[in-house]
Parts: sequence; C-alpha cells; structure tokens
Amino acid sequence: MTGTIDPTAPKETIPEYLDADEKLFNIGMWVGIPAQRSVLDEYDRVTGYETWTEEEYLEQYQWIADAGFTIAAPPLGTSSPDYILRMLDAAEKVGIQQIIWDENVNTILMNSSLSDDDAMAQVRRAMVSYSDHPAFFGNMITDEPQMREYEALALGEKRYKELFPDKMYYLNLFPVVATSDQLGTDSYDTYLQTYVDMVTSDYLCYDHYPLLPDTGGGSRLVDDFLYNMELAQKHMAESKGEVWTFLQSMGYSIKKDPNCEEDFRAQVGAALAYGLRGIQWFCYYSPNYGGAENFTPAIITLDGKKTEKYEMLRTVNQEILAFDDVYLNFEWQRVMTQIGKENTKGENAAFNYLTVTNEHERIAGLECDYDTVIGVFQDASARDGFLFANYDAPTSENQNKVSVAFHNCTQVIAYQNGKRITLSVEDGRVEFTMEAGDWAFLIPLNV
Amino acid sequence: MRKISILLVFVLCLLTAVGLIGCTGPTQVSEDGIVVENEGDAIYYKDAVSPTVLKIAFTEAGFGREWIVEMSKQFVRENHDVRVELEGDPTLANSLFTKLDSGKNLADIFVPLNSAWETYAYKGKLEPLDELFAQKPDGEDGLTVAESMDEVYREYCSLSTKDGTHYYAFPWNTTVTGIVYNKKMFRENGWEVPTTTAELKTLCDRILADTDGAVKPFAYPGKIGGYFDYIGTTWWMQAVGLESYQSFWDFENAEIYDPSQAPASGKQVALEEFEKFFKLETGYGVSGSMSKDHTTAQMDFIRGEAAMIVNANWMETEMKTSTPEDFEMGMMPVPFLENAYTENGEPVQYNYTTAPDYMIIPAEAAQKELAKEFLLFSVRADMLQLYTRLTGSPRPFQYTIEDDANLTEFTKDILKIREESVCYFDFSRADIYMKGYAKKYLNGGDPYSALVRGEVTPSRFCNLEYAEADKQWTTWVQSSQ
Repeated sequence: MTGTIDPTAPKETIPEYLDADEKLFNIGMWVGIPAQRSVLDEYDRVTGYETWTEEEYLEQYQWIADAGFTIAAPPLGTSSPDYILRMLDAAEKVGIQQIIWDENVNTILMNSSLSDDDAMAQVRRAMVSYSDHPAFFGNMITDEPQMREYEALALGEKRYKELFPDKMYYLNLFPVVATSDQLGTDSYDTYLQTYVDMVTSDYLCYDHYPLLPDTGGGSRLVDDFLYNMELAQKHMAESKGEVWTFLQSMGYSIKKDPNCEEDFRAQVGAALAYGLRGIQWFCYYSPNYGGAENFTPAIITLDGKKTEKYEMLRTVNQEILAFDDVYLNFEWQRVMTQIGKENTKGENAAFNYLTVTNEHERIAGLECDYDTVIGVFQDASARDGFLFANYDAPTSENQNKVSVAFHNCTQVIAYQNGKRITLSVEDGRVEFTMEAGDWAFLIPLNV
Repeated sequence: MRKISILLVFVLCLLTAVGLIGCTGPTQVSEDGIVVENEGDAIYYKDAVSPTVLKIAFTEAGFGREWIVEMSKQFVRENHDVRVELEGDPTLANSLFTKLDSGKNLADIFVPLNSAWETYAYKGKLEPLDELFAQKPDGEDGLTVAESMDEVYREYCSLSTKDGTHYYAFPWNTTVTGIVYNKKMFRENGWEVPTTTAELKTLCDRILADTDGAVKPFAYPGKIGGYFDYIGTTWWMQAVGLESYQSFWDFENAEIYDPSQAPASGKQVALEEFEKFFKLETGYGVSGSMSKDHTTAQMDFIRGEAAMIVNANWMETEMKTSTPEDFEMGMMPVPFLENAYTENGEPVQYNYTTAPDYMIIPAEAAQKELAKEFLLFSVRADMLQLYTRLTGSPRPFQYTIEDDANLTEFTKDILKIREESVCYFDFSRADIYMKGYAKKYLNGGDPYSALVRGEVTPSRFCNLEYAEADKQWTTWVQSSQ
C-alpha cells in the first residue's frame, strides 16, 4: 500500500497557523454555577442552601476556565439582573464567555403583539445592564422546542440579530431519537429543515447523549450517535452554518456515568470527525441527584465540589484547545468510515446509518485494525486534512493500528489527541496506533 | 380483568436432549446438524445451501438470550432452509425508532422492552399482523393466537390507523412483580411471609432486631426508576380496586388527579404506604441504596445484606451467574393494605405486570412472511413451555405446564402469583396521554426518589399534581387534538 507522486502536482507549504493562538473552539456546558450551593446530609439530600463568598464564587469560575471551557452556561432557569452581572463579571475575570438566561428578554423577543420597533426598544432596555459586557456571549432562548414554536422563535431571532448581530441567539434542538409528539412532526428531517428555513441557518445545536453501559462494565456509544451528526451537517451544508452538540458528562436513566478519560475522549473524537464547531457537556454543575431521570452527579457536585470526572474532562477539553487553531483553519467536507480488520461481523450498525463515500483522491489505501471514522477537511489553501476517530468501544483494550497511504505526500503533519506527533512517511504511507477513544488529525503535504 | 390460569404440565425438554458433538471455538454443532455460532449470533443447518436469513434483534437483558437461541435452534431444526441471525442489545428500545425511521439496521423481528410502538404504526412503519392473530399455532383443534392471548394484551396490540384497525404488536413477555425474598434466610430465622402491610412492618422491625441491623429488610436500586412503582401501583390498585384504577387511564378530566376522590385517593394511600417502608429514616434499606443501580442492589440482596427486594420475574435469570448454588430465591405477592379493596369479602390480589414488552415486524423488513412464521411458532405450546422453563417467566397466552419438575422454586412462585392474581398493566389510547401531556405522574415523573429522601410528602405531591392538571387540562386537551 503506497501512494504515488504526480510530478505535475502542485507543491504545498507548511501551514502558517500551526503555532498560532488566535482561534478558540467553543466548549460549553449545561448548568452553570447556581446562585447558592446546596448543603447536603449524609444521604446526599439537600438540607439547605449557602451563599457563595466572592472568593468561593470566583474559584468556581476559575475551575470552569481551568477545565477548558470557553463558555459558561447559566444555572437552570432564568437569572435575576444582579445575578446576570455576577456571572458576567466572574466570567470576565477568568477569561471566558457567558451565556445568559433572561426570560424577560425572551418573552419580549417572541411577543408577536408588539411591533418590531417596540419589541426591540424594550429588549434594548431590558439588556442595557449587560449587553455590552465583555464576557457576554449570547442569550439562552429555549431548549428542545416543538416545531410549532419555530414561528415565535423566528420572530425573536430576527429582532435579536438586528439588535445584537454578534451575539448568539442560543437554542438547542431535539435529538434524532425524539418522538413525533416531542418534535411536533413525523419527521426529524422536517424538524431540522424547518428550523433552518424558519429560525436560522447560522448554526444548528442539538443534544444526543451517546454513552451506554456495555456488558462487562465497559461503555459503548449508541448506534445513531453519528447519524444525528450527519443529519445536522446535512442541514447546515448549504448555509455553511456551524453544528454544535451536547456530549455526555454524567449518567441518567439508562445512560452511563462516564468514568474514564476515554468515555469523554471518544465522544469528542466523533464530534471532531464530523466537523462540529461547538461541544457542550451535559452537565457541568449537578442539576440534582436521582429524581425521575436518576441523575448521577455531574462534574461538580450539588455542594460545589469537584468529582473525579473533573480531571478527566479537563484533560480532554485541553486536548481540543491545544489543537483548535489547526482544526478551525480547516473546513469540514464529509466523513468516511472504515471497518476494522478485526471486525468479524464486517459491519458496524453505526456506520450502516450513514451515507458516505469511502474514497478520496488523496488516499491511495487505508487499513485499520478496528472501526474508524475519518473526517475529511480542507483548509483555505486547499490542503487536505483527515481526522481519524477510533470508533472501537470507548473502553476497549484494543489498539487500533492505522495504515494510510497518501498520494502526493512527502510529509505528514500529525496530531494525536491534540498533541503534535511525528510520523515517518514512506512512499506516502504512514502508520500510527490509537488507543480506545483516541483521535488523530493528519495533514499530508507535498513539499 | 380475568384471572389467567396456568396449570402445571410436563415440559418435554426436547432441546436439551440434543447433545453437543462438536465445539470449535465459539461455533457449536449439535448431533442433528444445527450450527450455533458465537452463542447464537447465527443459527443454521450445517448442510443448508443459501438459506433464507431471518434477522431477529432482541433485548438482551433480564431474560438473557438462551430462550431465543433455543427457540431459534428448534425453528431451524424444523426449517433447514432458514438461517436465524440474532442481535442482542440491552437498549434496543432506545435505538429502535431510529432504525424504523431511517429504514437502516432493520431486523425482520424486533423484540424491544416497552416503548411507544403506536407512533410507528401510525406512520406505516409496522407490518399488520391480523392474519397471524387468526392462525392456530397448535393445529386446527387449538385456539387462535388472538383467542389464546390475555385480553388486555389483545386490546393493547390493536390500533386504529389511517389503514384501518389492525394488530401491529405481538406480546413477548408478561411480567410478575412482587417482593423477592431470601427463602433460606426466612426459614433459618423463623420469619413468616407477610400477607398484610402491618405484618410486613412487623417483619421489617424483626429482621433488624434479629440481626442487630446486619441484615436490612430491603435492598433497592435508587438510581433506576421503575422498580418502586411495582409496589406503589399494586398498592394503588389495592386501595381503589381495578375498575377505579383503570378509570384513571381513560384520562377523562383533571379530576382523575384529585386526591380527595378515587382513583387518585388510591395513589395517595399507596405513596403513604410506600413512605412507611422506604423513607431513609426508617432504616429499612441497605445503606447507599439510592445511588445503586439494579445489578448492584440485587447483589446486595444475593450477598445477604438484605432479606427482600422489590423486583420481578426476570431477577433469577438475570442474576443466575452471580447467585450461589444454595441460595433460595422466592417471590411473595405485594402484601395487602389494611383497607384493601375487597370482592365477596376477600381482598383482591393484584399483579401489576408493568409496561408490556412486545415483538414487531417492520413494514420494510426483508423477510416479513418468515418473521410471521417465527412469531406463530414462538407461541406453539411447546415453545411457550420452553420459554417459561428457561426464563422463569410466563407469556400472556393460555398454556399449561403439567409437571413442574423442571421449574425452579422461584418460577413456581411466579406462576402461582400470576394464577392467583388479577393482572393488569398501564395502558391508554387517550389523545391527551398519547401526546404526552397527561401522565401517570405529573411534575417531573414518579415521586418515589423524592419520597425516599423526604423531599416531598405524598399529600403534597398529589395536591401539586392536581393543581397542575387542573390548570393545564384545557390546554392539554386542545393541544392533543
């Protein structure tokens, strides 16, 4: 398996952005720091609430920044004007952005009985205390709307963007597994397309939590995890809008509580292979424990302490940030899939959902020991980039050896889990090994 | 609701009589040439040439896979031109609808746990099964599938869609819920199986006293929803009677949530009874149970840290590999409330069979007719008997088991409870329910965890439910039309 060199192929240069630090990948969350932390008894029951001291509150925000988050979310529910400013000030001090949940603003934005001028004037007044704050990222509008809400959301979006074109009118859509009753339509395709047609084509954010317990104590990803990404990207293809998603940082219902770095990293690898421009972790601060959905603790406990998952998540987030200037200089094009040589079934149910073309003019040959997703990218200078995400089970002990031969390739710039690695190139062929959950980005160059 | 009678008759163990003569790696070949690859991933006749492939995706959970492997082996034994391919997935119900919607990863038969198949019948994604329901699995002298089936399942499997009224679902398993207990521990300590909640309370105190607290009355999986509802709903039915309980599921008006009158008064009674046994302060539960999943809690019970656990008929099979040989597992029916609903002066024993598990054939399946043949085969008397023997669980059809020699003591308890109980599961086709507005429990779901933690009282929970329903009912009705 070797690549060929076409003597007439144009020479490529080493990208100028490899050492840049200008772009920032969006890493957000669901459930930020509440105004008060819970006091728990020996059974982890809430027995009361305590107000943070300024020092404690700032420490919570410092933890968010240290863990690699670039955007903090508000706590559940709308925030008071004072608390909005407290969040923004804390976010600014630790150098991150803040989303605001201000139901008063949302109500005005979507009020169709108001003229646009009246609504925008009222919104401007309602947001005057924070709209110019340097840490203000945007407004949380709604979560998982039914399709019938799109008309009002579209009205709000038009008004909001006229007032604050650089801020995010943030809403999150249902996943592919939502029922027709939840969606308000029989078709998820229709749900997404109508959102794009009516609300916005700038971005599409949805939540599909993939981590399940596997037999024997490990974990696996739901079969339609990639499929949801494919559908989201399909609906952003024309507008070149960004796809954002939520990933899973806690257990609930039948979903597994992630308990190793690989559980986090495998989700990230898939999201990067699909060219997503924003990930958000569900949840950061624990919303509650148990309840109808059997929530496990999130990254931070109800009483404001770090769980063991904090360091795992910090590591995985920092891997993205170590590489985000390279990643964000590329534009995602599509995905390829490769069934591993060790896959005796010869198929992967997750791949069966996808519509892919497993050929690329740059790739002469490709072999993987285990199933792999390959994101295809190109930068502004038409350099190719390929993001390999190991799609073996996140807790697999297998090593996925990948051999890939590129045409017109004399050098490969490579990153594995965000860290620059050196790969030797022989006749256009490189080899590297991925552990469970690993991802690697390769830029083949004809220099 | 009629009581289902199951006589115990002899199970001809035709499958275990077939010895294994070949075993190379994960592939086994029986004397009569049935090949089983990798514990049932593929099952076919050794000399079959281009057999027709029947794909069955099933929930590999509490009942394991032995039942479907053995059933498939027998099917192949009788149909050498068929190759059965099994795919076990503990979370099939979660991925099923993406499969149906996308038309990808379709099996010929899906066997999921309870989930809203009706949505996909409305969308034309399910194959109607009317002809199958009219067939007689045991020959012309036997009953049709529909006649043999429990009435409530027959109702549940039928749906009116734009294509008319058809059967779209096929019952898989019926559940028996109750309190699983450690028979040996009970016997050695002289503890009696309680028949009333007062006796249960006395027993709980005695367990703590006799063991100095080393053994707790209950293990429970606080992380997993649903288990508490087995006992809660049974007490609700006991409190008001089945007819009243069923009226809740008609969802006629907001008053069904009014705790001052039936049926909701029964809900409050049930939750109050629940609190007496499971509130943390009672000390009746194994420490840390609220953060345990079902397997961990069941292991607490198996290890003897608790004498009882609220559970269902799959528990013995589910825990088979972790249960010591001398462990004696039994199941008792949920004890009667003090003022339980009576008929002819006797309290009525209810079995809450929980949400039904089922089988479906996708409209786009490659082998629909063969799939129907398999479903029909699966309810032949010998296959029903086989199922019960291997899973310890009944299916909701009329069949008999004359000799219980092959049944475990636990299975005998299960069958006895089913025989002696009025069986019922929650089921409604009211628009306001189907559209997700009115629910069994409002305001975020069932209250059991909150009751355990003392975060809500039964009366407050019920009052808040009624207030919410009263406030929203008109909107819900309009939105669900």
